[in-house]
Amino acid sequence: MSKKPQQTVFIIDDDEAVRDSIKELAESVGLKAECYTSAPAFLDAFEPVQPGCIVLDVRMAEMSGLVLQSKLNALGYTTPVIVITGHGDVPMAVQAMKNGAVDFIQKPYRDQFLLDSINSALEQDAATRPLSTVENDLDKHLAELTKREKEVLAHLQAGSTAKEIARALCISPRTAEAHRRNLLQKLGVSSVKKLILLLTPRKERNQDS
Amino acid sequence: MAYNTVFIISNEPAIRDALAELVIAAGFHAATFLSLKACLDVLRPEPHCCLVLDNGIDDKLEPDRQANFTSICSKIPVLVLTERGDIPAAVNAIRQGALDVIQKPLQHENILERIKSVVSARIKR
Repeated sequence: MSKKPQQTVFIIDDDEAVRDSIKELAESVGLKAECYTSAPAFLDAFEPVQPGCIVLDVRMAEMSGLVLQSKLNALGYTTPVIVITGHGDVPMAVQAMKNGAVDFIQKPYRDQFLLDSINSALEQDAATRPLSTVENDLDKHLAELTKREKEVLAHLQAGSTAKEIARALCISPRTAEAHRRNLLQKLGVSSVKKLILLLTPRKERNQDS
Repeated sequence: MAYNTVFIISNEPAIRDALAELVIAAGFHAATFLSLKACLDVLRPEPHCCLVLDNGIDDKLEPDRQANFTSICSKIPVLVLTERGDIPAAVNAIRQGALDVIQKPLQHENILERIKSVVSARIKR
């Protein structure tokens, strides 16, 4: 999941040696990495639709990493942030974490430690990237289904007819039909065929992620 | 406010006593515990309450500590006490759902202010 080629590790640090070492580290496990020398340079170039995670240093000229973090939050960007610093203290760590950082790492750190953190940030990004609005609505409607309707839905997706569903769930065919009618109505589709179409991209999505 | 209890968990009697005395003097009720588990068993969250957890409690005695901690954070606002400069402990506490972290040694005015602020954070929620 975390090894998707299109996911990028965005590295923001004013220290060239640190940037290079993190980039090398990310690339050593097949991740794409992009380096920025300052927070404003990053803000100018960053497109929030790009999947990935952000690794930023706290102490930088122009704009500190923590200010950058709050700016990203204010802009509504959900890309996970890992904060690294050579001069951290507990209040700073608490602030960064409360502002939603995935991790707060002190230099010097072990490579594997940062890598683990990057991987969990990428996983989080993949899991929380907003679905399209249609799918969002669908999620909401799916949550509104009763337990029975969800069972019927699972059978419909497997291609069962109302009669087969009735037998499997030990209910009358008429009741099975009623459940089917209700769930179609709740999901806002007019036929089972359309229902399957609506749910298919989601299935594929889950498989390749 | 009908009830406003500060739940205090530490295995150091000195810390338990000092905190209890402090919060009682400030008008709270105090309930002290030796372990997360003991507290979780009796915890009945009230509208105005919070929990102060001394991070130094012995992990080995409580194998389920992490789960207990996460569970308690979902029920009541939690303030964690850490050793000075223990950044990993602070990071972990917030990640598990604690609202604030205070470094030891404790300063009375500071801790009372932070307790009040997590209690009111709970009311706003």
